[in-house]
Amino acid sequence: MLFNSYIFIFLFFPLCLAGFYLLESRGKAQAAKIWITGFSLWFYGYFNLYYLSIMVVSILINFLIFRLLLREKEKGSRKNPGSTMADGRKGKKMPQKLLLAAGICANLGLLFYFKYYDFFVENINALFGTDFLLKNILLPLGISFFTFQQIGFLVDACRGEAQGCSFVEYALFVSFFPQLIAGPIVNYAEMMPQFRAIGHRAFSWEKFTKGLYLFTLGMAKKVLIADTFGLAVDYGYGNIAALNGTDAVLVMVFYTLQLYFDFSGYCDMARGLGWMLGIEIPVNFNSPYKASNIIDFWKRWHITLNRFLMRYVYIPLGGNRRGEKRMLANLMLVFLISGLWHGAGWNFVIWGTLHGVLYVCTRCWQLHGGGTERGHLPASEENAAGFGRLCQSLRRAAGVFCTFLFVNVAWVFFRAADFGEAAELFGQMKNGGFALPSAGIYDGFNLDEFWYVMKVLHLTSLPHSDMLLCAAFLIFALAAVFLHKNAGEMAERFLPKAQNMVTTAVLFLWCVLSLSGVSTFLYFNF
Amino acid sequence: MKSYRRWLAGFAALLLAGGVAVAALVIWVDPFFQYHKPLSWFPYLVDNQVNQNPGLAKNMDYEGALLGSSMTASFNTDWFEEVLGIKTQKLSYNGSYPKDLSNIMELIFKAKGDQVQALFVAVDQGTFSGGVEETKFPVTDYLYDDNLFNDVQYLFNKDVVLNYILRPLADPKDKSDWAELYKPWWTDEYYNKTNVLMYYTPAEPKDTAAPEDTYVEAVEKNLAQNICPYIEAHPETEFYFFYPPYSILFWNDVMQEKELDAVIGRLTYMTERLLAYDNVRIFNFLGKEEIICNLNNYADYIHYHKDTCRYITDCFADGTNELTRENYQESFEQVKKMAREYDYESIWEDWQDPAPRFYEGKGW
Repeated sequence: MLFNSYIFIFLFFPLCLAGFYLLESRGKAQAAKIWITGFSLWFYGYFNLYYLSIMVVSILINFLIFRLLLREKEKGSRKNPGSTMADGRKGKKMPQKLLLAAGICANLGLLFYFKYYDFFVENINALFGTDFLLKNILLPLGISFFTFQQIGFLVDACRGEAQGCSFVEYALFVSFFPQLIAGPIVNYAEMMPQFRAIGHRAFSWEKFTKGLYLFTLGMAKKVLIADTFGLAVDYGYGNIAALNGTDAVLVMVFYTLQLYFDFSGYCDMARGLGWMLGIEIPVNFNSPYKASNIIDFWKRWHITLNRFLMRYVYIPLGGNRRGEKRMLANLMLVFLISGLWHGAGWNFVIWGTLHGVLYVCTRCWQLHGGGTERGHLPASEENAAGFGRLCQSLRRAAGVFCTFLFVNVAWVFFRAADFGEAAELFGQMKNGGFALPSAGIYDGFNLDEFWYVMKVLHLTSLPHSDMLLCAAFLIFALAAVFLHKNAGEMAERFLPKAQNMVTTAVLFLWCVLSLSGVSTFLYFNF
Repeated sequence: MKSYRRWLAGFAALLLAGGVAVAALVIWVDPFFQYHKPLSWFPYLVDNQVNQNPGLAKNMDYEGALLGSSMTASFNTDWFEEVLGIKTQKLSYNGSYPKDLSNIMELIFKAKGDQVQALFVAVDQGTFSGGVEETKFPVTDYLYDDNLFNDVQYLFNKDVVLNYILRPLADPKDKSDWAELYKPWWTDEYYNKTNVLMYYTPAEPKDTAAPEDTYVEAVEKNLAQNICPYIEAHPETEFYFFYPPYSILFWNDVMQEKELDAVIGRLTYMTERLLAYDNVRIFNFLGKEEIICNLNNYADYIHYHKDTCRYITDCFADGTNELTRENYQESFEQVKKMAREYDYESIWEDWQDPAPRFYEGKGW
C-alpha cells in the first residue's frame, strides 16, 4: 500500500487511527499495540502476501535470536553479578558472539539471496565464463530497511543497549508501517520507549495537527513535484540518443530534484503519520542540497542510513581510533557498502565510490587545516566584520554550488541502468550541442490544471509558452531547495492560522485528485 | 490547544466540502457514464475507450453493439439502424485482443441481459494467436466492476474533472458525435496509395514456412475462453463476425514471412468452430480484391475508409460475402490463391493510382 493511495487515505489510516485511539483511551495499551502491528502487516501484505511471509519469518527468527541473546546475557550476569554494562561489553561471552554472528549472517543471507544473488551470479559468469542460471528473484519491498534495522537491534541487544521487549513490541518495532518500506532506519533507543508509553500518555492536538500538516506537505512534494519531474526524467533516460546538450543537463538536474522531493516527501509523510499516532520518527533529511561540502551533505541526506553505517560498520572497524589511514579506509568502505545497499549493480558501486573519494579527500583537507566541517571560516575570520563576512558567504555559496554540482553528477550513475547509459548521458551533455529543450523534456510540466491558468492569463500567446511551466517548476523547486525552510522545519514551527488551514486543505485535495496515475516511490527497491 | 482543534475542524470541514463538491460534480456530469445516461446538454468528449466503454455499455440505450479493434473505428452506427433496424452502440478498443472483447461482452450482457439483438464483431484473426488473458491496455477495474468503494478513483480523479468535465465546457467544439465515436483523425486526403506506401515497411522475409496448424491451439483457447461462452449463453443474440479487408500489403507481409498456410489454417479453424453455432454469421472481406488491391481505400496498410465500412454494413443486411458451412473452405481457397498469385512487385511500379475509392461517397 502506498501512503499516496486512495485506500490508505480513505480507509486504512482513518480506521487505524480510530481503533488505535479508541483502545488507547480505554487504557488497553497491549491491544492498541497489537492493533497497529496488525495494520502494519496489512499495509505490507497489501503489496504482496509473499513479501509479508518473508518479513514475518525474518521477524520470528530475529526475535528468537534476540531472546537467546538475552538469556545468555542473563546467564552471564548471574555468574558475574557485580559486572556493569561496560564490563559486560568487554567480557562478551562466546555464545553471545556466536549468536550475534548467526543473527547478522541470517539477515545478510536473506538480503543477499533476495537482492544480490543475481548480481553475484552475473559477475561470476562474466568473470569465469560460466553459465550459472539467474533466479530473477522478486525483491521484497523495503527488505534493505527492515534487515538493517534488525541487525542494528541485535547488535544493540548484544551491547546491552536493547533490553527486553515483548514479541508484540518487537514486531511493531520492525513493521511499524510509517517507516517500514522506505525508512528512516530507526533504533531501539528511540522507538521502544515510545511504544512502551502507548496507553500511558495524553493525546496532543498540537502534535496531531502538525502531523497532518507535515503529511500534506510530504504528499505534495511527492505527488505534485517529484512525479512531475519524473516524467521528464523518464523521457530523458528513455531517449538519451535523441537529447541535445541542454536536455541532457536538464535531465541530470531534474533527477536530482525528483529524488530529493520523492524520498524526503516520503519521509515527511512517514514522520507526519508518526506524529498523528503520537510517535516521533527521526528526521531523515535536513535540506541536503544546502550542504556546503560532502561531509555536511551526508549529515543531511538519508541521515539514519549514515548513522547506521557509522555506528555498526565504521566504529566497529576502528573508526578514527586506529590512525588516519585506517580511518580513511574505513570511510571508503562505508561508502562502498552504502552504494551496494542502494542497489545491486556496478553503477551503484561507482556512485558510492565517487561519494567515498570526495568524502575522504574532504576529510583529509579538513584534518590538515583546510576548513571546518560545515565549511565555515576559522573563528578569527568568523569574527571579522564586513569584508570577512562577505568572503565567508561567498565561500559558503561556492561550497554549496560545487557540492550540488558533484551530487548531480553522481546521481547520474544512481539513476542510469548501467555505466554505459550514464556515459551516454554525459556524452550528450558534451557533444549534444546547445539548443532549446526538446518537447519531451518540458511537456510533462504542462499539467492540465495550469492549462486553464495559462488560458485565462493569455500566456499561451507568448513565445515558447510551452516551456514556461517547465521553467517555473525548476525555479520553484530550486528556490524551495536552497532558500526555503524544509517541510520538517515548517511543521515544527507551525502555528494554526486560517490561511494555512485553507492552503493545507486545498493542497490535500489537490494531491488526492492527482493520485491516479502517479508513479511508485523511487526508494522502494533499495 | 483549542486553536489546534479549531484548525482541525476547519480543515476537515473544508476538505469535506471540497471533496463532496468534486464528487457531486463527477456524479452529476458522469463523463464516463458509470451512473446514468449522458446529460442532453453537456458536450461530452468520448475519446478514451478503456475508461468510457464500460459506462457506455452499462447505461446507453442500444439493441446492438459494434465491437473490435480500430477496424471498426470509421463506422457510423446510425447505418446499422438505417439498414438493419438495430440501434447500435460502438464499443470498440483500438488494437483489441480477445480478452478485451470478452470484458466488454460481459458488461453488455450484464446490463442488457437478453435484450441484445446483435453484436457486430471485427475479428483480427492475428490477435487470437495471443494469450487468453492479454488485454491491449491495463483494465481500470474500478470502471469495470460493481464495487462502489473503488469508485473513489473515479470520483476523485483530476483527469476526469479537468479533461472530461471542465475542458469540454471550455472547448465545446471538441464534443464527440455519438454515431461516430472514436473515429480516426485522418481526413479523405490521407486515403491514397502514395500516403500508404510512404509509411509502409515490408516485413522481414523468413526462410521457413510456418505449418498450417501453427496457431490453432492458441485460437482454440481464445475462442473457448473469450468468445464461445457468450455465443452459447445468448442464443437470442445474433453474432455478426467479420474478417476485415486488410490491404494487399498485409498479404505481402504474410508471403514475406511465409505464413500463408498458417494464416489460412487459423481462419479455417476459427470459421469452422464459429459456424457450428446457429446464432453466428460470418462475413469475409479478406479477399475482396476491389477493396484490398486499391490502396486509395486506405490511410495505412490496414485501415480502410468509411466508404468501405458502409459497404460492410450493407453486406450484413444483404448477405453478400457471407460465409456458410458450405462455402467457407472455397472462400479461403480463393483468398489463398489470390495471395499466392498476386504480383506484389507491381504495387511499387506506380505510387499513384487514379482509381476511385471503392463505394466512394456511400459512407456519408
